[in-house]
Amino acid sequence: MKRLIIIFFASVFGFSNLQLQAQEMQEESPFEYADDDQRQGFGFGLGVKLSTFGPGAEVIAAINPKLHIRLGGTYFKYKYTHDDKNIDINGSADARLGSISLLANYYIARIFFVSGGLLYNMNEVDLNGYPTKSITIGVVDVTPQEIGTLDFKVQPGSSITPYLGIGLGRSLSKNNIISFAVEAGAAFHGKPKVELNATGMLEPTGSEEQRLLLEDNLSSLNIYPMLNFQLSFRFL
Amino acid sequence: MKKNKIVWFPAITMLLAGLMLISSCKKLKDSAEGAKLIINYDLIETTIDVQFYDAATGELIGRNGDASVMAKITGPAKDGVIDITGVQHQSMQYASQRGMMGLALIPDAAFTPSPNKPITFNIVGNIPGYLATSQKVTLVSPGRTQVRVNMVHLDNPPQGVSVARESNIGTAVAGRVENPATVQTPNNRARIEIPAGIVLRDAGGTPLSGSLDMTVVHFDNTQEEALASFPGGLMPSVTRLNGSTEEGMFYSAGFVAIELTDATGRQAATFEEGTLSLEAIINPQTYNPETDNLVNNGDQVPLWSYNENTGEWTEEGMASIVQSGGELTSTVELTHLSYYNFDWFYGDYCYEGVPFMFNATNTTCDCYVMQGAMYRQVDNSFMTYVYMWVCGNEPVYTQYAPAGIPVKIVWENDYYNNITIAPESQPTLIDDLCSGTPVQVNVISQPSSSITVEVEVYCVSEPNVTIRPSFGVWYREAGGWDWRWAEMVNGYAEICDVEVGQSYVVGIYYDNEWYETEVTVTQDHYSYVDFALPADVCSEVFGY
Repeated sequence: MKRLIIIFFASVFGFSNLQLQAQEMQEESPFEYADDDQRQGFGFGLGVKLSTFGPGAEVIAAINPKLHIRLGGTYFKYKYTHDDKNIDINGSADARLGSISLLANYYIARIFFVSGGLLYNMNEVDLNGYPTKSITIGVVDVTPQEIGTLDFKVQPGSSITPYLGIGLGRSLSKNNIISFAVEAGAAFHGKPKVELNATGMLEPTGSEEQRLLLEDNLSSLNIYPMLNFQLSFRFL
Repeated sequence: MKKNKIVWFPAITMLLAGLMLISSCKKLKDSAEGAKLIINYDLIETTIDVQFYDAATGELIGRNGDASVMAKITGPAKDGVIDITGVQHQSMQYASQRGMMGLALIPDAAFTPSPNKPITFNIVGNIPGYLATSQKVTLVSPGRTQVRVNMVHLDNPPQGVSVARESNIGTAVAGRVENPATVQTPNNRARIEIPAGIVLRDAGGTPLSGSLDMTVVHFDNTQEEALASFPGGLMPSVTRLNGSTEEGMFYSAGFVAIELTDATGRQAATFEEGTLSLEAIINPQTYNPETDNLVNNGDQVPLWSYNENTGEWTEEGMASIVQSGGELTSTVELTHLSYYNFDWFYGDYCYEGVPFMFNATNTTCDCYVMQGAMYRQVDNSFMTYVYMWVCGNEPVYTQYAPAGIPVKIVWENDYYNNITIAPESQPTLIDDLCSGTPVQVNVISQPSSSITVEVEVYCVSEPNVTIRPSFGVWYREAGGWDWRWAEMVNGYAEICDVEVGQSYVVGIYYDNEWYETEVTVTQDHYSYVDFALPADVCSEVFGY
């Protein structure tokens, strides 16, 4: 009865891979390979994903049931501007997440896999601050233009970033069209690169000395966490 | 067995991934640790360094810290004058310290000097025991300007200045002088006659009352020390008889300062029911530009009165020069009391004149001061002091100079130990200060030591904000009295001609106060970072 209910809901929502996985969960341990898996041949599909590198898509090739090759890309940009005339300092924050990835999934069990490969890391955070009001020093009015602006940008230390992760699910289903996978891992982007620029009276704040100090402070952030949810469609 | 291996592998990998995730999130809160907001405090674009000297001794007035000259800023651009930190006193009065005072212009378009829009104001100096004086300051470009104000000590006047100070010369009742009085300077250089019955009032119209004291000071125009002490200087703004305002240069035939006060210190300014008679001796060596000859019997010379508040001379009329008792004299009737000047006026000038090129034999400091005195060639008469701030090979332009007048500059050679003027350039002759032909001045500079100083300050209440200040620094050898000037820009200064091992007194002027300290130079670079400013300075200047 339980099996029929699962099959019914899976059919209704079209998630036939869930049907399969439900069957597998019922019939065998997820850590064991069934003999029919070993016989599975080449496969090909597309996936959509939502990750800490942003939303994106992938082309997936199953070389064999244990090894999947994934070529994908993600991109997300967010801009926040704080523009409140009632406060002295306003600013904006630009966050760009993105990657082009070439990864390989190796299945160590039916739905557990280890993933590794290289990312072209396009992550970048850009913070900009600027005064909105003149200030008075003695009787001297100093305009916002004279005070200047401060721009702080952080990028990965290396654009080509090795990645290692583990996952649960199938990036490409063995026998069905649709599959789902979730993975967690980390991208080793090295010590972040900092750009610091300042203008006007704030110009010395953007000195090389300060930039190196910030870079040193951020040097421990050499790993970027990855969490990825992926829905894939098998065509071949 | 196989099953266990398969379970261990993802478990370890998950553990590693978890550790990486944790690692990637740690220390975010420390990312800005040690970083500071560093501010260049270089708002001030034009500084005016004022020095008040005793005209007789050549010493800075109050150099020991025992006296201050109170200087009031007057004139058309007085509202643009501030002290070097940007503070403006409502009274527009500033006090010198050790004889020095640091002023600046508000860095605003309205007060940015240019040849098309010169900025003019007056420094009116007062200190007990000295004759009140003033100095007109005309700026035609931003940058650094040095102003020297010579003041006459009434008990020790310089050569060429005669002083008569007489007490109780008469009595005024409701302003009316009861008995006639005469006051004359030593050697009878100037004589004032006060008739009985004349009514004396101060500038506010209040009649003088009680016993009267009078001071009469005569300046001999042929004596350099006297000329250099002329209140208002010799490059004035004047109001002509027709009411027009002109600027230019005086050819002086003498100057008389008169002060008449009552028992309460009230100073006479206007007269009613009579005039005062002023007789002044004209030095026969006076050059008359009208005749292009020495002054002679029958010559006419304009008479001018001085308004110390505006810094302007007002033409009062013509005075005749007559031969009397073996002397050339001029007698005029005064309808109000002021400083009076017998001068021919020459009104052709330029705001930005000839460029000076200083050719040094060796590499010198980034910038150094060349100073001297300017004289007319035709009568060898003192005109003004000259201060030029020389930076590398950049030309230095003369400002507010008379046109078409051949002049010479005699340079001072003892300002630095290792920078002197070359013999062929001493004096430097210039045919026309308003021509475009550069004036070449050769300088002998020995390779000399200099030190660099870095300064960063902060306010205790805002420790993460560092300020790199810009201001002028005075320094002198310990035991000496010749102050030299150095400029700190954004927390960095190169101080010229300083010997390692020698002790120096370093001082700054700030908000009517003087701060100094003695330093023995032991290295060629000093770094004063993390220097906490006093709380009142932080509050007044930066609002912290």
